[in-house]
Amino acid sequence: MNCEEAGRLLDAYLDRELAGDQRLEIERHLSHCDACRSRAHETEAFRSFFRASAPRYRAPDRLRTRILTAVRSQRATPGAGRAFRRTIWLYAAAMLVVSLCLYLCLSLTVFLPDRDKPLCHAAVLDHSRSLAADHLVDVASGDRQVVKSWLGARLPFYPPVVDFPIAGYSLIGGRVVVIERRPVAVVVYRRDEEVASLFCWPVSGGTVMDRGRQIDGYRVDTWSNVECNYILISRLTEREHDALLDLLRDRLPSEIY
Amino acid sequence: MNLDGSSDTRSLVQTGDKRSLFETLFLPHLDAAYTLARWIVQRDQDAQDVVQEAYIRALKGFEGFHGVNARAWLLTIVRNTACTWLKQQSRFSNIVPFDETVHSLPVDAPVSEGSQEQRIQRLHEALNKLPVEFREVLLLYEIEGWSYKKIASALDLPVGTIMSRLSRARRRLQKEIAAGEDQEVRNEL
Repeated sequence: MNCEEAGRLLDAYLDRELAGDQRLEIERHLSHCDACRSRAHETEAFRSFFRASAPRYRAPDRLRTRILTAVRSQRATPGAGRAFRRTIWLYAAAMLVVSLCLYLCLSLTVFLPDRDKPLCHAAVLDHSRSLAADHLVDVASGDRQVVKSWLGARLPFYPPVVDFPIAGYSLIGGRVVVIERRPVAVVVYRRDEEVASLFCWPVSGGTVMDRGRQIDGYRVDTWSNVECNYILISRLTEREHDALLDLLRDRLPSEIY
Repeated sequence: MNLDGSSDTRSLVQTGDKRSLFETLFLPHLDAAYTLARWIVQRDQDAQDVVQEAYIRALKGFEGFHGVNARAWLLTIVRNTACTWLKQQSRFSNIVPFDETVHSLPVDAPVSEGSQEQRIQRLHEALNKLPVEFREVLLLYEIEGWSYKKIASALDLPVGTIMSRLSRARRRLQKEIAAGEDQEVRNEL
């Protein structure tokens, strides 16, 4: 190992983040190179100075109050303790009725207004247009970092991009579109000859419902997590579409920990 | 009390009060959340807005939290909220208005004549000038004590990028501080 390589790995070494071979090599280099050893001492001294002196802030009391107010004004949850246990049967009965109604409504979707419908139709239009014009992607790449940074550079947010090389769905790229006047990232996957588009935008303007639909022969699913709203559109078979949906719901970050 | 632990969590879950569980898990990390927001967006008022927004997002996404590490989960949301905020700001204007709080010392730091205090002040100034990508990695590694791997996964970047950002960030800070000290010696002569 020469001084240049040692310099590149020095911080990781001091941070105890280097694995076996590289650690041994840099230790060997440090044992006979005075210049690098003194650099290591300097870096070490700077690290402890930084840790002791970097700014840490106390949240203002005002902020604590603001957050408590905001959290408590969010939709109310059932009261705690004995009162709750006493009325639990009532709740159970109510839940049963509610879930029966919900089941009815869901099975006869016509009765439940679908407020995301215009959005979904616009997304289906964009998806089928991209197929018809044979312009699936603005950036063609199977590398999720490339797709993510390309999209992030053109949008006011960084869309999460995941891929599943072993599951048979390959990432082929992304495009930027405007749906109902908001900029949206589209990540495109392929399985065999079929293409799936995943539309994604931040939840700041409101969240979409968790719901599946059929529009013009396409499967259209909407859902949201902490960060983003999503619409998945494809003509994959039922089983393949569901599998992709599960993978996406599972792997899209927001629940990293 | 073990805030990330299970016994406390379970008893609260049984009472069915989601909000008090949320408060017990996440309010103790308010200082850490605010510090991270200050490091990223810098101005006090902006940091407060970001942290409040992040807590509301966390509350909404609370179902998705599986109780492994509340602090890390919250900080990831704060970081994403802050970055979205920065992006929106830069879209409207590239000119950041001068704000005293950005260039002033943190509230706790006493202003003194001693050279150690001057060195610390120089560090804080240098830190403010560092690109945000460097600041967030420094904070998560040095202050929060995350591993390279954990930072890489939260920021959705390769581990190699985290490694080089940390190293470049330290070099820059060391250089800035040394330059400031040289300047001072010259002024004294």
